[in-house]
Order: sequence, then C-alpha cells, then structure tokens
Amino acid sequence: MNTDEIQILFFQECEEGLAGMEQAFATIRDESHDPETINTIFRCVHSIKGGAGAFGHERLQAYTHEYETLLDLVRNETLTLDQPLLDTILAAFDMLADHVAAARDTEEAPADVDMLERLKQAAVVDQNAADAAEPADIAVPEAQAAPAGDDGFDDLMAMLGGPAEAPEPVAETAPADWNLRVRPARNAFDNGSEPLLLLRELARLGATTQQVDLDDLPPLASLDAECSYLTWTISVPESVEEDDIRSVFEFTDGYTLELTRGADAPSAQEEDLPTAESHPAAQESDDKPQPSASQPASAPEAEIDSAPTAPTPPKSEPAKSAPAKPTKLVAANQTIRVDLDKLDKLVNLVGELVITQAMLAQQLSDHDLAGIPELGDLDLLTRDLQESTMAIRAQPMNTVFSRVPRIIRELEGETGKRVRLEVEGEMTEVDKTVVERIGEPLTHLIRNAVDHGLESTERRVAAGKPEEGVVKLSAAHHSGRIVITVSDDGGGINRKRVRERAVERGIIQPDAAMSDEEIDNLIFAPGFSTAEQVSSVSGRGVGMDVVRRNIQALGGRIGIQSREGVGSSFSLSLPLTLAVLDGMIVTVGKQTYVIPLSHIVESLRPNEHNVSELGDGAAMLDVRGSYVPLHRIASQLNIDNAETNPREAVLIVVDGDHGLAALMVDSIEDQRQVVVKSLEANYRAINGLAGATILGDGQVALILDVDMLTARRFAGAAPAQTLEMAA
Amino acid sequence: MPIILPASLDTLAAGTLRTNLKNTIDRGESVLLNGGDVEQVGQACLQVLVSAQQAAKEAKLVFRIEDPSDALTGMAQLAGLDLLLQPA
Repeated sequence: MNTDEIQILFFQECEEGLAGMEQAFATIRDESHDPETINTIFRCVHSIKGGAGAFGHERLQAYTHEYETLLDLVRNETLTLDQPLLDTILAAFDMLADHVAAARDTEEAPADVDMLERLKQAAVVDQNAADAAEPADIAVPEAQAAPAGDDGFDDLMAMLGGPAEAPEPVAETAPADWNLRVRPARNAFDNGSEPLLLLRELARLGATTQQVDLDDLPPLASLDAECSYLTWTISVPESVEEDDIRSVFEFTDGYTLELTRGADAPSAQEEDLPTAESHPAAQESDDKPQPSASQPASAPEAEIDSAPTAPTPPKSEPAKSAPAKPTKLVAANQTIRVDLDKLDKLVNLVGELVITQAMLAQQLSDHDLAGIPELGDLDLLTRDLQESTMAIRAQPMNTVFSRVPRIIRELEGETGKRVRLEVEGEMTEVDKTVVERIGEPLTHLIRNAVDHGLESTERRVAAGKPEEGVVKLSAAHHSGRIVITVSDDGGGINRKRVRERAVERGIIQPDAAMSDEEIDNLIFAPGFSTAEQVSSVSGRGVGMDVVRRNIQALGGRIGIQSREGVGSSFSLSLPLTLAVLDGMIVTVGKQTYVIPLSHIVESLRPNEHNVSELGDGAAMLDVRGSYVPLHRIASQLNIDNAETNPREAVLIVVDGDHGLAALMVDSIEDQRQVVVKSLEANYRAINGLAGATILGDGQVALILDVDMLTARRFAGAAPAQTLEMAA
Repeated sequence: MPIILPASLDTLAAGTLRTNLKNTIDRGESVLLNGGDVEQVGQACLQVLVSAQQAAKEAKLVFRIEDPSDALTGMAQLAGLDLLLQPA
C-alpha cells in the first residue's frame, strides 16, 4: 500500500468520522446524549487532525486544531453545551466537511477565517468563565493532551523548518512514562511523506526524543538519499493516552513501533504497522549485519538498551500486551476494504454464472432432464451466491441520510423556517450503485419539502401547528424493493394552484378531468413549478422532473400522497440491486421480452366483454369492475406479426408510476431471474426499454420499461412512436 | 569558503546534497557549511549531513555547520541530532 492509497483510506475514514459526528449531533439534538457523545465527536476531529498532519493538509490541520480545542473544553466540562455553543459547533462541523472535501479533491480550502475566529471566541469566553468559576479544574489531565491555548500551531512549512514547539521540559523519563521506539519504513519518504512531521506531532503531546539510533545509517558513499535509516527512542508523558500516541502513526505505512509503559521491556510490544512493505523492510534490516536488528525476538534487550529505562521482569510483558493485541486482531477481521473493481468483476462473473446456469437448464430440459435434483440444487446455489455477492455491495442508507441534517440546517438559514428532521431506517441496506445515485434526487426532495412543503412559521402558528416543522426521512425494505419516503407536515399540495399553473403552462387542457392523484403528478411535468419566485433553494421548475427521471433511471418509481393542510409524502420505490431482477418472459410477435416481476399484478386472458375499444387504437380493460388502460406492446414497439386481438392475447396487469395498466402480449413463456445488461453501456439508451438480458437458450431478450410504456398513453402527449430495436 | 546550504533541505534536495558533500570529502577538503538560509529541513537531508559528518571524521577532515538557522537547529533537535551542529 503506498501513501496515495493510505491517503484514500484516510479520506474514507474521514467520511465515516463525519457520519459518526452527524449521528452524535442528532443524539445531542434529541437531548439523549451523554459525555461519551462529546467524546465521540472529539475523537473524530482528533483523528482527522492527525491524518491531516501526516499528509500535509495544513489548512485542514489548523482548522481541526481550533475545532478540537473548543471540543476539548466541552468534553472536560469546562464549557457548558448550551444552544449558542451547539450552533457554533454545528456550523464548524459543516465547515469541517467542506475542509475535508477540499483536501480530498485538492481544491482550495474554504474561507474559514470567520469560523476560526468564532471558535476562538467561544473557547476564550469559556476559558474566562471557567477561570472565574473553577480555578482548579479537575479535568486537567485530559486537557493537557491538546492544550487549549496552544497557538503555536503553525503551518507545514514551519513544521518542516521550525523547531518543535518547545515542549514543556518533561522530567527525565519517569518510570511511568511511555517509551516509544519508532523506525520508519525504508521508503518512508515516498510521495513526499516526512517522518519528522510525526515526531513533531509527538512533540506536541509533550514527547521528547531520547536517542537516535544511527546503526543502520550507511557510509556516505553507499547512502541512498531517498531511504530512511534512522530509529528513534522517544519518551512520551504518562498522561498521554496510548490511542493518542498510536493515532499519530495511524496513516503511516511500514513503520515499526515499540510502545512500552514505563519500565516495561518493549520486546512483546513490537508492532509492525500493517503493510505489505513492512515485511520486506524488516527483512532488509535483518539482512544487515547489525546484531540488534538481526535478533528481534531472541535478544530484545539488545535493541532497546538505548532506552534509559530499568530492566523489566519478563513476566509483566505478556500481561500488558495480551489485552491489546487480540482486540486489534478481532477488529481487523470484522471488516476489510475491497477495491470496487474487484467486487464489480465478481458481480459480473456471478451474472455470467446465472446466465450459464439458465443455459444449462435449457439444454437439460431439451433432453428431458429438467427434473434432475442436481439442477434444482444448482439453481438454489446460484441464487444464494448471487444474493450473497450482491449483499457485499450493500451499504446502509445512512451513508446518504447522514448528509441530510446539514442540508436541513442550511435550509433553515436560507428560508427562516424551523425544521426538525426525523430519520427512520437509516441502517436499511441497498446496493452501492443505488446509494451513490440516490443522493441528488433525495436532496431535491428534502429541499422541496422545506421550501415548498413546510409553511412559514407565521402560517404554521396561524394554522394551529407547532412552529417547528417536521421533515421525516425513512427507508424500509418492502416486497423486495427499498422504499424511501420523504414527508413533511406542511400545507400539502395546493391542487387548485397546481392545476392553474399546469393550464397556464399548457401542460393540460383547461377542461381536463383529472383525479387528485393525477393533479399531484403534474408537479413532475417538465418545466412545472408553482414557486412564485425562483429562489436559491428551489423553484427553477426543473427539479421534480429531473427527480423523477433520475429515479426511473435507477429502475425506481416515485409516488405522492398529499393532504391539504396536513402534509405531503414522496415515496421512492427502488430495486435493491440493479444487476439482477426476477422477470416474466413473454413473447410479442417473434420477439421475446422480459417484464420485471415487481411491476406485475396479475395476468389474464380477457373474454369479449372485458375489453372496450375507445377508437384510435385505444382500449380499456375491465378488471373486475375497474377500468385500466390497455397498451399494445406490439404497436408501441413496432413489432410485426403480433396478436392484435386482445381476446386472443394475454394481458399482463402491471402497477407503475401511472397506476394500473394492462400490457398486451402474445404469450407467457416463463418466469425467471435474469441478469440485467445495460443498453446504455453496451449500445445506447432506448425509450421503452430498461435493459437487455441473455436467456437460457442464448438469445437476447429486451427488458420492458413498464413506467415508460404505460406513461405514453396516460400522458396523451405523443402518439406511439417507432422504437429502434437494439437487437 | 563555506558551502551555503539551500533554504529547502527536503527529500528532493537530499540526493544533490549527498553528491556535493561526497565530492568535497573525496577531494580531501574540509566540510564547511553555512546553515543560515535554511528554512525547511527533512529527515533525508539530516541523514545525509550526519553521514557526511561521520565520513569527514573518518577522513580526519573538519565538518562544521556555521550559523545554523532556527529551522535547522529545531529540526536537528527534534530528530535527536544535536551533535550535527557541534564542531567535529
């Protein structure tokens, strides 16, 4: 793993840390927090600061230092966490996210002068109050780890050039101080890394360099100027927590650390930081003639004799080291990070396996061997393998939901409305692709809920509602799909206004007879907006249209429920995975198509009384007293030799964005799991088709886009168009 | 005439520094350096300086860094290499 890869890891952990902080803030807001909540926030910031320092992101490091200083005052209860302070901490958190993003994307850091001043002020006010109230604070030891008044936190250049901020002259290694022996990897300078920055970080913790080991340093003639050869013995005050020391090296690669407390002998504590290079590095030093390095296990004392500590009874070593190491190992085994490309390759391979299994089943069936039990077993195993593989790609919706509180905070500032966010089901898991692509539509729905949905505070009070509006965000699994709901307790959709605007915009005829549901759906029409003014929040009239298209691109549907004066609820129904779906195989003419099973309500062959022709090719199907529009797939997709008489065809009743509808096909062939192949990636997007798949007999079948096909006649906007066929 | 060390003694500068110091010692000349301009120092250059100090000592040559800047002094102390700044 090289430094770039470690840095990627650092930013991934930053994201996780920020998400953890957001959760902690939600707990604080719910007034259900405890001291550990503040500690959690502090640790996240501290960790980001450590990584920022290691990678030379000096602006991020300087910012986190001020932030951490304030948080430290809160966590040691020097400062009481009241609302103004919480507001400051929250605002600083938002800027921290910006800082991290800027560092990650190598963009200019956000303008943080005002925020830094605000953080300093908050800390100063607190300090004054603390001085007056509590001259002797009990929680001093922790504060020492990150001194509040340490304004010597200079930038990277100074770090490289300037002396360590003269650490308090630490008493000569007291028996209980930490002994740290650090040997950077040979390639520790790669990618601009600088081990002395880490020594500098340690110096900030009060550490002092006791000795430098030059045994590995080659003569000048054979010295490779780009290799590290030094090993340091460092004393760290006993008050510093072990985690804080180790966190300094959190993002290093191949460093060898020995950390012992006081008079402990370090042999049992030796730890090569996990890396592929660490072993070659160790091997390299083993090859050298120095006796100290060649016998790391059998003669540990030889290696540590430079440390001015007393010899240690050997028995204390396992007792000290035992609790820490197993914990680390367990933690390491719980999760691993896998390159997404590798995972995608696995998913593709499983997809091919599903197809091959279907082909095998077809071949066996042709030879009257479809009933052999092994085939059934293979089918089950393939399905299990596919589901397990997709589960690896699953991520909790929390990765998306965690960004919402910030959006809400910003909207509160922009609109002047007071909003309480309620979140449910954030741990619901869904495919990574869905998680990645749901963010934008979800953001728009949240903005829409606050800007359009919730009334102003005055109106809410006048309507007898609480001043604070509620936006509720939930996720749940439902019938093999994930349903994400964004609801508000605002005024609901003003259908009269929506209808008027739709007429003004020429979207509907003035005399169009429409149900409430149909009027609600008008807000998804291109160019529709009821906002009186274009604001920075919403009201550009493009949003909801784009939201719907984005959701549809994910194979999803969006629905609205709204009650005037009570509120609105937008439900996004999305497939759990985009890679595989259960489908019904049907034929139209000589073509084979797949209809996603999730849309299908029932299939039927109508009698002569069930279908009513309306002229112009349109027809309605009577399904036990309910009339649903009948769509002739053959004419919509321009397929020859298909059945034209509904009474001779099979009608598949489907449920989509536009309610129930019936699709007319010639016959039903099968029902099976199919692997979705993207038309967009392999050919190009085609209206009416959601993708393609390969069937067991090797032929390509196109997957119907039910929402698109049923929308054509519903919208009445365009006659059936000839669709280009991909196959 | 002392060799004036550059302002930036980062890893990139280490190779050139090593070559220059080695050539000086190979020529049998004393290593007289002026560290007054140094603003930035990394481990790589400190290692080169220490190795050169040892090489000069073996060759019975003078090794001296005159007028070390605060930056150089501070980083040498941080790295535990104070001896570097003391006359050989």
